[in-house]
Amino acid sequence: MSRSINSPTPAELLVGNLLPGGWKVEKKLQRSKNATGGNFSTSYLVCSSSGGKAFLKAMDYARALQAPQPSKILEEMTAAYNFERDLLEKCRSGNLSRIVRMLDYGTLRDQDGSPISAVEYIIFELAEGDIRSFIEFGRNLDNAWALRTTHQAAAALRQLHAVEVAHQDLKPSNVLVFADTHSKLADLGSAFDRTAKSPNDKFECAGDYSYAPPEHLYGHHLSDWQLRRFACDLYLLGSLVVFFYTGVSLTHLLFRDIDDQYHFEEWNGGYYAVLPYIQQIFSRILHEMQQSLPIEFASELTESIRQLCHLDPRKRGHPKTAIYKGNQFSLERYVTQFDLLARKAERLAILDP
Amino acid sequence: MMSGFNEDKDRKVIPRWRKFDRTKLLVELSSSESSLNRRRVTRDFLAQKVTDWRRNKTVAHASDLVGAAVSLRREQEATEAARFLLSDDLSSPVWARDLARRALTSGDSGAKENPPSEVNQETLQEQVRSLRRLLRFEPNNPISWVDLSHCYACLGNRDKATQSMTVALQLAKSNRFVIRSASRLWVHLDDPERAHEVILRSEATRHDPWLVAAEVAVGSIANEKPKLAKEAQRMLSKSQYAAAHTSELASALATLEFSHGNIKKSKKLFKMSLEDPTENSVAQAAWASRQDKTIPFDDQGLKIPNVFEANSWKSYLDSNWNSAVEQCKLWLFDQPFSARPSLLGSYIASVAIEDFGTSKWFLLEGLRANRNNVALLNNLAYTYANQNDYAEAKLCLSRAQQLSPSDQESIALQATQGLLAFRTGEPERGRELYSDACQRAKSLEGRNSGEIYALATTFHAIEECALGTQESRTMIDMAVNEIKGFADPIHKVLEQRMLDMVAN
Repeated sequence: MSRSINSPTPAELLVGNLLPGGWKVEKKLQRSKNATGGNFSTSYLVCSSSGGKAFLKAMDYARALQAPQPSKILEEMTAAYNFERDLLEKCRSGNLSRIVRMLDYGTLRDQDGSPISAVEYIIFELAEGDIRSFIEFGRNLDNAWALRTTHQAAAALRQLHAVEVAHQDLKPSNVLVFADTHSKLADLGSAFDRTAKSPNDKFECAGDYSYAPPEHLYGHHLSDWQLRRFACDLYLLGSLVVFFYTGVSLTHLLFRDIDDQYHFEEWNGGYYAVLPYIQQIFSRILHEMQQSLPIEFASELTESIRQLCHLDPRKRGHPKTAIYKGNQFSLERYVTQFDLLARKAERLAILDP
Repeated sequence: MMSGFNEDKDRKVIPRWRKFDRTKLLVELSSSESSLNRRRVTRDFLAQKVTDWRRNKTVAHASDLVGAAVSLRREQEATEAARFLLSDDLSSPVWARDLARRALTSGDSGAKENPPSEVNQETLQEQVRSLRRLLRFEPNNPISWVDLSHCYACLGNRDKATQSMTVALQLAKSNRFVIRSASRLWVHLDDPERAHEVILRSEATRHDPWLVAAEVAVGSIANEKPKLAKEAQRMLSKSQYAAAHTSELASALATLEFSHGNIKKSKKLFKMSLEDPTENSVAQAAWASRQDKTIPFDDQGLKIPNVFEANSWKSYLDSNWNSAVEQCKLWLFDQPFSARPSLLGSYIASVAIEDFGTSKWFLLEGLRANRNNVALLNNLAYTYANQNDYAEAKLCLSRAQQLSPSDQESIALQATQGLLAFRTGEPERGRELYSDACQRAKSLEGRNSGEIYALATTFHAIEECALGTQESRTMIDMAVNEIKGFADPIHKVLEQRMLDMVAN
């Protein structure tokens, strides 16, 4: 039977289906077509037999077959699905409380039994939304919330790093907010797992380019996997702080100010040759930002950004950790520091009229 | 007697040194490696952001899209979100608003290639304060250390300029901008050996045509045989670099061949240097052409940005004095630590057009960065004397004499003393000083001695004539006879001035 390009695919027709785990598909939320290079998926709101709501991501293999190189896309999609599912299972079994929890996964087969109509899915705990939907900027920014969210993101990365996983795509849209205002880190699709073969291993820059650390954008290959992967997470954590106080990522700001010939799409040379020029921009941004940060947190936040986002990945991280503990990418100090800053902000908020 | 007439006798294509914000707009700092190494963003990250923005329409979703679009240079996909961020009724963060403005004005390149602006004492001091603040905040920023060194060099603070540049080198010893700036600083501070060493020490030098070019040029000034001349020839013959990246390399080799008398090779290399030239290469080729008329130079080269030095000389040779003065000013704004634009500018202003106010301005500007430059002090003394400020003129001469002047400088100082004596009612002493200066010029070794003699005689004759002394007619005849043998346009002005004085 032939299907037209505009006909709905099995993955787009899940509403009303009862899934093997007892979940009922209630509502289609979004179809994201080729959002990040071959990731065809559709998302739904699902409901458990006890009435609990959850989020379902369905892989759309049928839609992928309509892409220009279907076999390649299918191979990438299945590899990505298997990797993410296994990694989420690893997080679930390891009780990684700051990572969005996978509640179930499985395959739904249509009655005709065709392999094309099989839909693989993952069900996640349902968030209220990502931080972009909640944040208010400037004077209206809730410092306590921003710093607590940063603390929780740092804690999430610490949990991942402890099991030798790097997230590599920490950005506002992947920090999900739950009903109790706690946040968790979502989307392990770009992660690196040292203990498993990852489809992202081939990418220097696995996550969103517009958030990525500059060394990845300039294609600088670091042979040490920790430098390559954990250093990226530290940069992204620092950039999250930048987002709370500027509304944009550090990478956005760095490349806002760069002249065309030094842009990563134009530069033909090595990363360290262009580094001083980007460093010059970074210094100015940080200096300017310090003036605009809340005075109670300005110096500590600036220093954290400076360390976490150091443009030379070899120097990234807390200097004391690097010297005394030997693991320069340890997040211990940052988790503590952001926790203390969040507490301070929470107390100051009580004093507000 | 004014100095400056022989400023054109020697020139090497040593690196230009501009503040980073100006240098970064030039090809000088772009990567010289093959464009095959270029990276392209092949995965589409914007599509999801566009979807999210359309679905949510919040400030954060808009800024996420706009920021990504600007950093990925796809601003046209975020215009709606950018306009949203700039809405009056929204309290978007200033940073996001700024990005939105960038997104909406992408493609406007109005700010580029503006002519350099005047730097005065106050602006330099303000720049120093600003850079110091920035460096106190972020001391590991080599580019700002170089800029600080530049400000100090312009202010004549040699120690601070050296210290700042040393820090920059410690932080980025392989960076082209830092190394080229450092080498230029040390040439400026009369330490070409150190300039040469800085270039040779860097690991980056052998693989970078801009640094090899600097090595060949600076090595020649340091009186050392350039160590990378063969590397330079190899780089040129392999055509692995775009012409813009080897322009100064070809120019440096051309100058080397020219100094060895290999005019044929030199011509070929100068031609190569002008295929896609830098301003410095244009100035060098124009200089070579002035020294040897068989070396061709096409005025087309004068149309690229910042060609102030070459244009100054072009206007000079065309006797277009007002234009020459304007170009010298721009040349000085472009290279504010250099004495050469001030020397030429003051020479033209005071001798060709007798605009002593402008001459004084050039000299005070030049002396800020070069307070011990004998030629500048001599010219300032001459200028003050012509403004009837004899006390200041004497002070300048006295300062210059304490600075161990060269033989040639000493002759100029003596002649200026002669002028001062004439103007202060001591013609006998003036006559003696001029005569002595002329005798010393005659016995001077080197190719300039005849010209120095002619000029000293001319300035002496003008003073005699102005005073209406008995000797004036004989002196004028002698001076006209001496100076007419030179083709220099200012010599022609002086010749005519003497003839006019006699006629009146």
